[in-house]
Amino acid sequence: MGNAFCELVECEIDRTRLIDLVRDPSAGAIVHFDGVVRDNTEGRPVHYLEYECYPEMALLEMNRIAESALQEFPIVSIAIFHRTGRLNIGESSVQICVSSAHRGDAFRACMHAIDTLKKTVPIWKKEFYNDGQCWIEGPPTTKD
Amino acid sequence: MCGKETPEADHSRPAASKIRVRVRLFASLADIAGCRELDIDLPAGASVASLYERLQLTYPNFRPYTQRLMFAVNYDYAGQDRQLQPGDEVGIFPPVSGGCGRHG
Repeated sequence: MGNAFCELVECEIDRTRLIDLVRDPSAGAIVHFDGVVRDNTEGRPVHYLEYECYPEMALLEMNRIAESALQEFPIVSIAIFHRTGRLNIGESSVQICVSSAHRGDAFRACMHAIDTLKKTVPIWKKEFYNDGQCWIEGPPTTKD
Repeated sequence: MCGKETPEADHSRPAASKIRVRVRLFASLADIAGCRELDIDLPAGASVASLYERLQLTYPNFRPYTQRLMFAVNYDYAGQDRQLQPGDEVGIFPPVSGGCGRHG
C-alpha cells in the first residue's frame, strides 16, 4: 500500500521536501503540481491573498483525497501540502506531488487530486486589490 | 452576539429535550456574524436545516448565501436533513476556494 503525506502549513512550502517524500526506488515518474498566486484575477490586479481554513476538517479531507488517489490509481505515494495565512504574488498556496511506476498514472492522479481539493477541502481565499478585498467562492457543487 | 445564546425560557419541557451544538463559521459568513464559533441550544431531534433557520433569524444577512452553503457535521459533509446529536459540531460555509485560480 502506498504512502500519503498531507500537511497544512503557515510558511513557505518546501518543494524539495515534498518531492523527496514521494520519491521511491520503484517509482519511475514523479509529477509535481505547484499552485502559484497570480497577479490578477480576470484582469483585475491582485496585491496579495489570505487563505483561511477549517483546520480539523481540511486536513481530514486532504487525507481522504490522498487515500482515495492511492485506491483509484496505481501510484506509489502522494503528498498534498496547502498553505494558509497571507500569500504574496508568486508564492505557492498548494503543492501536490505524486510518484508512480509510470507517468500516465502520476499525471492522472495528480490532476484528480487538485481538482477534488478545489471542490471539497474547506479552505477559502480572500483577494486584496488596490481598492478593496473580496472573499472568493468556488462554484456551488453537489456533494455526494 | 456570539458565544452562548440565551435559551428561551420553556418550563413546559424537561431539560433533556434540548441539545447543544457548536457552530463553526468561515469566510464571508464569519465576517457577517462577527465571530467564528458559537454554541446553540436546539430542541432534541433538530436537523441541520432547523439550526440554519435559527441562525438566519439572528443573522438575516446570511440569506443571500442560503442556496449555495455547504454544511458539515463533525468534519463530514452532511445534508440539511441530517439530525443533530448533543455535542455535534456543525460547520457552515460558502463553496470552498482553496488552491489557486478560479473554477479550475
